[in-house]
Amino acid sequence: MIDSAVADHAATERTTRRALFGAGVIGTALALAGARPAGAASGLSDADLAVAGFAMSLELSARDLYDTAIDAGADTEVWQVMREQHEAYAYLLAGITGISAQSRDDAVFDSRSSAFDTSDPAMAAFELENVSAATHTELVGKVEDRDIVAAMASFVSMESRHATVLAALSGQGGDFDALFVNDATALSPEA
Amino acid sequence: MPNFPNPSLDRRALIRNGGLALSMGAIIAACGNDRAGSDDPGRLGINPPVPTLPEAEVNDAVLLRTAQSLEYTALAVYEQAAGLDVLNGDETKLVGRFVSDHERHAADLGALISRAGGEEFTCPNPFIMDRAVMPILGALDDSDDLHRDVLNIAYAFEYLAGASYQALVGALEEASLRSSAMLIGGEEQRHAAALASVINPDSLISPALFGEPVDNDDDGFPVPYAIPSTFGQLTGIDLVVGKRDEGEGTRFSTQLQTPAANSFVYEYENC
Repeated sequence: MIDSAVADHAATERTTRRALFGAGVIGTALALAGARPAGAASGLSDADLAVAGFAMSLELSARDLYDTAIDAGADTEVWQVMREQHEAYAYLLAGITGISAQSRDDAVFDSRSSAFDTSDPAMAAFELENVSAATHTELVGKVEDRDIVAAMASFVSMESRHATVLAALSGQGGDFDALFVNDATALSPEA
Repeated sequence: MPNFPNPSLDRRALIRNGGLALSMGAIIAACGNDRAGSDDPGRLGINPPVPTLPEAEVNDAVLLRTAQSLEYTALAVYEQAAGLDVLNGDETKLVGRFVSDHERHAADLGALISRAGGEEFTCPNPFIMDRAVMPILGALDDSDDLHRDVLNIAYAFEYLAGASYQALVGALEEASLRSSAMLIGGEEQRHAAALASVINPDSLISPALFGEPVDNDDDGFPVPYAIPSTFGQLTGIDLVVGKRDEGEGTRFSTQLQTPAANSFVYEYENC
């Protein structure tokens, strides 16, 4: 239904714009985060901070996995965009919670890094986006702070779209279940 | 020249005495006690009385009933689209899948509404149907490209559905309901992404993500992107359909909005 060749065509190189959009995304994330105070002074419960911190480490892992693919030769714009998207999500959570956006989840990264160590990480990326969307979908029911809920719901919206695009890029454009159903298992902060 | 009689009441006396009479009337009226009568604003002519709306709160049941109404709104839109018979085979299969997904979502929402202590609302959103869907469908009369219009309408309503769940999830009080609702919202966004890929296959990523302006196409239509932004957006969704007006050179345009006070399906509302 969605032609992967067409999607490949759409993902042509736009290297000259990378720096610009990277800066723009980060600026947007910081603007959305507002001026909430850091750490415990933010007024967030310990439980909310733990969940948000976990979600942020997941997003940083995703960023680093896309970096792995880019370093391995994945040089079309879609991979750079995905990298920047996930970094922006981590920064937004950092802005809301005051937690430093520095620590990725090594378990997530290590378990997927070999699959991303390629110039065509479409299938690995499709699976990662589904896991990320499923995880945030689960987490919106575990936090109380409305800013965190709104941020995570926003991530689900976009990571769901990412997954559909990546389903097509990975040759699953004719598979409606791959395009429209997220059957990934959510990661848990307790795991 | 005739001689007019000299009046005993000259103009100055008339004005002075008239003003005195009005002032006394106002004072006497203000001194009355236990005066009955309506406090409503004055009305001119014969109009039906303004209806008194029931008291209503926006609770989880209302939010989920609104979401369910959006599913039935989407189904109503697709039913109208099917009647136009302008989609090709692949597009018809795609829309067929959307229809079955929306039916499943509506059923799932029914269970969530029951959990929230509410009654299902198994019909389209009345406000959105009146204010958006019907005018949009009306603009399709003598359209210059029904195929284009139907795809753009489908994209706009899938996008609206996805954005609406994103908005509603943030408002749900009961945390356990949020994940179930957002699961549906994610699927609506997937529908929207697939439709954007069909309508605009050559550019899946919005120029906004590269710091570039996002413009309508040369014919004035908003361009859908599979990945339109970094974060899920809750802003209005622009939709342009129909033929260009010969006089002004414009087409019918509207902006779809995520549900708010005027489009919530309150508990006193029935299909």
